[in-house]
Amino acid sequence: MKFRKMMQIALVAVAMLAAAGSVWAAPALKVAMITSESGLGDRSFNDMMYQGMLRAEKELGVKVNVIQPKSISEFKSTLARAAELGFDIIIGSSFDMIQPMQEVAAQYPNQKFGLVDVGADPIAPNVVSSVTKDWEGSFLVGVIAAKTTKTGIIGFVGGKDIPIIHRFYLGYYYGAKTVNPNIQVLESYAGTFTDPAAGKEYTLALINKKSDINFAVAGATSAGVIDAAKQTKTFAIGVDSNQNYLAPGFVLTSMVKRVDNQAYDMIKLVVDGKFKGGVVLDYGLKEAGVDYAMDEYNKGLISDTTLKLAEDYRKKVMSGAIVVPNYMELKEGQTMVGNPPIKNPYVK
Amino acid sequence: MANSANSVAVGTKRVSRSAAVKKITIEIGRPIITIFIALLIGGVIILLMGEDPIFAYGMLFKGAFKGLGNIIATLQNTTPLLYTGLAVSLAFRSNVVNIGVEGQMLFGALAAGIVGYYVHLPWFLHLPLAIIAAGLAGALWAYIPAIMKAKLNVNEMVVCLMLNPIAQLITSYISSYPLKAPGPTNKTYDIMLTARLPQFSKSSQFNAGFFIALALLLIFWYVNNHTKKGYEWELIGQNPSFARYGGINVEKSIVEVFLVSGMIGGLAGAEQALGVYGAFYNGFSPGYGFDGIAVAMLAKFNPLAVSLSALLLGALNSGSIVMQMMTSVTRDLVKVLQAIIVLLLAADFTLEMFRKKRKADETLKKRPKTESEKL
Repeated sequence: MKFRKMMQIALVAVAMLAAAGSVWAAPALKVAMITSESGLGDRSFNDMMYQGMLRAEKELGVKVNVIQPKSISEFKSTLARAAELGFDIIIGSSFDMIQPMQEVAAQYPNQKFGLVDVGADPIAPNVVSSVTKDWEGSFLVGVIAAKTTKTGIIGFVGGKDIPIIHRFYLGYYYGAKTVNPNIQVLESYAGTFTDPAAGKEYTLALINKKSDINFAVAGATSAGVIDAAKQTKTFAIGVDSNQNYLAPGFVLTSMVKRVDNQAYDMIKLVVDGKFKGGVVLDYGLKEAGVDYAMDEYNKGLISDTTLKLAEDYRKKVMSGAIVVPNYMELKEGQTMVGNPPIKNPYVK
Repeated sequence: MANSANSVAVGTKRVSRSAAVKKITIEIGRPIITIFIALLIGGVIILLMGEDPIFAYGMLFKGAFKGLGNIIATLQNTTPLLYTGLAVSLAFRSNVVNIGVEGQMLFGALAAGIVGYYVHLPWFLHLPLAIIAAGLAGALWAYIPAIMKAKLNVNEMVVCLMLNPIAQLITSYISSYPLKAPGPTNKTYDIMLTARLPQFSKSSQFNAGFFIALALLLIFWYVNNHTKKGYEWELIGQNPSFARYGGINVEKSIVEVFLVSGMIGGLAGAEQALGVYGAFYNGFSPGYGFDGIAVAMLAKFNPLAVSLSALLLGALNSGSIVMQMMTSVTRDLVKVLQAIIVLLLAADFTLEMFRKKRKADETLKKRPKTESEKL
C-alpha cells in the first residue's frame, strides 16, 4: 500500500516536472520590429518604440529582431519576407507602412501584425493598430503651463492650421482654462512642419505679446520654438518624443506619445493569447499612451504643487470625471466643449 | 586606369593575346579582391558584435538569393543602382565628375510624378511621355554644371555637390506645399495608372523599370565601344589636348556627356516614381545617386560590368534585411562594407593616377626636344 502511494506521488512529481520542463523549453515568442526609414538612433519614435521592445524582452521573455529598411520602397518586401519567415508578430511604426502592410497582410492572413500610432481606421483583419489621444496629453501640459506661467499668458505654435493640430490646441487650451479661467492662450501657426527658422519667428512674436511658455506642435519646426525659448529665457514645451534635452532648463516638459507602451502592449496581447486583428487600440492617459516627460533636463522647472495638481487631473481624466474635448469630434458650431464644459475657442 | 581600350584607341601598338588575358584577369581580379577584403573586415566587426560571421554572411547571402521572394527583392534593390551606376560611369569615363546624379534623379522623379498625374493620355502615350519628361528634367538639371564647366571652366564636382541639396530642398518644397496630396506624408498625388510601370510581384515593387535599365546598359555599351560618339567621349576623358588636336569639340562633348548622364539620372527617378512609389515621395532616396559612384567605380565605368556591381550592392542591401531578421547584426554593417569597398577602390584609383602620371613624365623626358625647347 505504502509503496503504491509512493509510486503515485513519484508519478505526479515526474508529470509536474515534465510539464514544468515543457514550459521552460517552450521557444520564446519571436517579434519583428520594422522601423521607419530613419531607423534606430532617430531620438524619436523608432528609439522610443525600441525601448518598449527591450522591456518586452525583459518582462515577457520574447525575442525581438529589429529590422531597419533603408527606404519606404523596402517596406513592402521587408514585411513580406518577415511574414515568410514567420514571426509571432510583426510590428511597424509609420504612416507609410499602412498600405504595404494591408497588401502583405492580405497575402498572409494567418500572420499577426501590429502598427503603432497610425490613426483611428482599422488596417486589416489580422492587424492590430493604435491611435494616440494626444489631446489628453496636451490637456496635462496645459495644466502645467497655466500653473507655471508668471505673466498669465501662454502660447501655442502649431505646424499648420489643420484639424489634427487644432486637436492639440484644444486640449492644451482646455487644460489651461480648467485650472485658471482667466488665462490667455495665444494660438499661432508657423505654416510649416520643417522650418525651425519660421518656428523661431512665430515664437518670438508670441513672446513679444508676453507669453512665457510656448507649446510647440510642429515637427521639425519645433526646434525653432525651443531655440526661441533659450534665447529669451522663457519656456518651450516639446511634443511627440521627449525633447527636454534639446535645451536643458528651457524646455518645461514634453508631451510624449508613449509608442513604447503601445508596442509593448501589442506584444503582450500575443503572449497572453488575446490578440485580435482589425482592432484599433486607443491610447490616452488611462492607457499610459500619452504623458508629460520628466527627466534630469527639466528637474526643478515645475513646482511640486503643480506636479501634484497635474497628477490629480491625470486621475480625473482616467476616471472619466473630466472629459477632454477632441476637436475632431466637435459638431459644427458647438459652443461648449468638454466636461465640465467650457466655451469653445473656435466659435466666436 | 589601365584600360585595354586604351591601346586599341591610340592604335599604335597591338596587345599580344597573353598580355590581354593578363590584363583582363587583373581588371576582374582587383574588384573581387576588394570585395573579399571588405568582407573580411566586416567579419571582424560582426565578431566584435558577438555574432557568428559565417552565419551572418550566410543569412546575408540567403536573404539576397534564396527563393523567388528574396531574389525579386534583390532585383528591386538593384534597379535604381543600375541607372545611377550607368549615369556615373558614362560621366566618369569622360573625366566628367558628375556627382550630381542624386539631384538629377530627384528632378526626374518629380517630373515623372507631375506628368503622371496632371496629364491624361492613353497608356502607350502617357507612360513614354512621363519617362521622357523625367529624362529631360534630369538632363536639364545636369545642364547647369555642364555649361559652367564648358564655358567658364568651373569645377563640375563642386557645382554638383552644391546642386544636390538644392535639388533636394526644391523637390521637397514642391511636394510638401504646392503639389502636396492630402495625408500625413509629403508626396505628390498618385500617378495615373496609365503612366505606371507594370509591377510583377505581389510582395515587392519590382517593376518593368528593371528591363529598361538593362536595355540602357546594352545601348550604352554599344555606343561606347562601337560608335564614333562613344570614342570621342572616351578620348576627351583620357587626353583632352589630343582630342582637341584630333578635331573634337571638347567643350561640346563635355556638355553632351553631362546631358546624357543627367538624363539617365532622371530616368532613375522615373523608375522610382512610376514603378515603385506611384507618386513623388519627398526624400524617397536613401542616396541612390551616391551609391551609383561606388557602383561605377567597382565596374571600372564599363556599362556591362555595372550590372554586376549594382547587383552586388543591391544584394548586400536586400540580404541585410533577412540578416537583421535572423541575427542582431544591424543594417549599418552593409554601410560599413560599402564604405570599405569605396575606400579601397579610391585608393586604387589614386595609385593608378600617380602611376600614369609618372609614366607620362618619363615618356616626356625621352622624346626628342622640339624646336622651341631647343632655343
